[in-house]
Amino acid sequence: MSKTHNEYDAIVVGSGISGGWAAKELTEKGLRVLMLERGKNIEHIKDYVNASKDPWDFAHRGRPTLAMEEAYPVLKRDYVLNEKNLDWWASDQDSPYTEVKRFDWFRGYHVGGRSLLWGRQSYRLGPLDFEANAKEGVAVDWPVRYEEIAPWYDYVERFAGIAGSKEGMEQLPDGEFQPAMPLNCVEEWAAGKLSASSLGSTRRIIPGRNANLTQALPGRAPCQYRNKCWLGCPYGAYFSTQSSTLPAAMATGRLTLQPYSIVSELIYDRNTRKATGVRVTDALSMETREFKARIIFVCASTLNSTWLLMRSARDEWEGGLGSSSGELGHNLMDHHFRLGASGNIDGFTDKTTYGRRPTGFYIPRFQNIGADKRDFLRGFGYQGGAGRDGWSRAVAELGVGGKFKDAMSRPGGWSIGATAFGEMLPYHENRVWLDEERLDKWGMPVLAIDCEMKENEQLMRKAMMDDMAEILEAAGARNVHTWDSGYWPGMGIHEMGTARMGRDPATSVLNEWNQVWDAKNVFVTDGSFMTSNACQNPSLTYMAFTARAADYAVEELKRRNL
Amino acid sequence: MSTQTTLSRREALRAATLVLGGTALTGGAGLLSLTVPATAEARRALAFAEADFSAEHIAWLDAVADTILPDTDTPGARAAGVGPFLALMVTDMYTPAEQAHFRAGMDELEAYALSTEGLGFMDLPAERQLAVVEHFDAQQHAFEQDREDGTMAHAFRMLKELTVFGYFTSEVGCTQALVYVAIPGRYDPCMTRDEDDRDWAPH
Repeated sequence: MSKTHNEYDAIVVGSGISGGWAAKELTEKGLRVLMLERGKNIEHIKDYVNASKDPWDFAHRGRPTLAMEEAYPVLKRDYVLNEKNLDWWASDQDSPYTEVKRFDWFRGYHVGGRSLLWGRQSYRLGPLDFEANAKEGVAVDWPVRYEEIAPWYDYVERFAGIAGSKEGMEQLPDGEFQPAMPLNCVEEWAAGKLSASSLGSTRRIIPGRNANLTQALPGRAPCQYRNKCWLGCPYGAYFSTQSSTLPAAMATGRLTLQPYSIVSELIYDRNTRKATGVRVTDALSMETREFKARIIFVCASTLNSTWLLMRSARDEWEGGLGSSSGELGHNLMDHHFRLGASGNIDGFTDKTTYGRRPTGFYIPRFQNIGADKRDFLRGFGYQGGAGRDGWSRAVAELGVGGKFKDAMSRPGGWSIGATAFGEMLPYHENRVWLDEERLDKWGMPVLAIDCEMKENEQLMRKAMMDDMAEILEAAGARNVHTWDSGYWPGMGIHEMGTARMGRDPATSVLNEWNQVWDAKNVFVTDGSFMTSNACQNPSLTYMAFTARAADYAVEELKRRNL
Repeated sequence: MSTQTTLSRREALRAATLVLGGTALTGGAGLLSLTVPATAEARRALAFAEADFSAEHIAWLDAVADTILPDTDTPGARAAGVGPFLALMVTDMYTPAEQAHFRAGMDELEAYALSTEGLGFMDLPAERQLAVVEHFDAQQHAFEQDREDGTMAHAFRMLKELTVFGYFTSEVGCTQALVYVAIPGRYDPCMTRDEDDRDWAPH
């Protein structure tokens, strides 16, 4: 390969969950692939420099300092600003955007992207989710039904390794699971009480489904129950690009990974109506270079992919590649959350848990299913857990001195609680566009973001608290109280939409195969494609659609359709 | 926080008693004439308001923290390095307004020790230090019950919070007061424990 080599079969933009899957699938199917990542490299294990530190090794024990808050005015808005993995979050200084309304955009600009940082909760969307838009006349219909994506969920679950239990619930289909990380004894007891209560036929506490191994996979050890996932796992026990898809793609000998490569635009050829390649700015040297390929997978993360499309083919379409429908940049969604209920469970004082389980329980959506009709559309699920109160209760409790210290060194009572995650409808007016007035350090006009919750979400939020209180009371908890810590779009770190798929090029950006209607050799397979966002954590769905799109793309190449 | 900086006659008497090592002294004017100079001598009040944290300030923070979480059958806050940790965290984490509030709280605690006990906090015997700290703990606890969101916490609450956090995340706290398992290796969802077993350390 000469140093001027710049032609590949496929280019993958982005190296997170979707990009990693695209690279794996395309290389395994025989394509020579260039994967471009805008940030630095993080090498598996070697670069997890904080993964094996003890709490006291961190000067501020993980907490953010004033200097960090100044440097990260966006990140500081939530827990993500911390001392332990700060350099895995994108620099707010270098990554400006315009907030027409407050939008918290927490990004991971490095190899692996947010696959290193994600919460690992992995749930399938169900038939209900893919049908909802059409049934309710909201936005446009999904061009895909559950039955079509189900085999791809099977496929990605087996490779990624999802711990979970089979529950036979139509709204949350079962998958190809590894053994679940079980409920602890108090969760199990509460699940039993709930099941026996009048709510029990529709509301259930089940083990969380998470991308942490309970059984080894090739090159990956099972979870060691340290629960330090977001520092990188030296055992490769959770799914990330580094632990899973990148080694598989590298093993083919057909992947070239190039960090510090910001794709400034896709190069579009109006004669063939296809993209011929990408223009790349070196993030460090600022030099530009072009790379050519037969197909391009845009997997830069929801808003970044749309941002790239908007910068591309502007001679042809003012709004950028994929904008002919007028929907590019529109229908931005996130999961709204940060509210729920908590309570105490009496007894079980002779019980504790051993090991730190990197998941909790899940309560699948039950609203607007069957007889459970609500004054809002769609619904929400809960993620929670039960555990013994720890030493931090010493802060709020009255007491000082030796006896107090010794008491606080022993566990307190059991608490139980959960946070709701709610669906947000795809509103045309929740959108992003290029703010031409403002350029980032690489000379690119930044994104302007205008997104808000509307009446449906506000109505849902009341139920999200009240229903959890009902559940906890039925599950045997005392001192039940609801809480709402407030939510602004983006905080869920589940950005979705802005390049939705649909059945009609007049009303959608992508077709059913994640192909850009306006350039069929361009595939967008990160969260941008989501036509609605359900209430389940979405990454597993990106994996399934990416694998499916890669399969289709290679078949189309073979058929000479691309 | 209520501030009490002037000594009443009754408090001066009580302070004098302590200065003299708790010896039971009786008498009126004679007692005062005997003890007031000694009290003044013992007033080694530390001024916290303006300066950075000096070694003496850190020793004072250690003394307060070690009263909140003292040596028992496991080492206390001083052995865990909580004093220096408090100084670091206040300097690096708190806004200038919060820092001023925290330091004012330190001044107030010192003034209270002087006014009620006749000595600076560091010069008090352990049981009197505990009494002072208990006083502020009760005060912050009451204050926090009614505090509105978005307003600053009671200064002693800030100190107690950082003390608890600093202690239980320290090596001493994690490995001696608590049980630290760096790599559990497995998960047991329902493990039987004895009443006196220590809790798991944070990770």
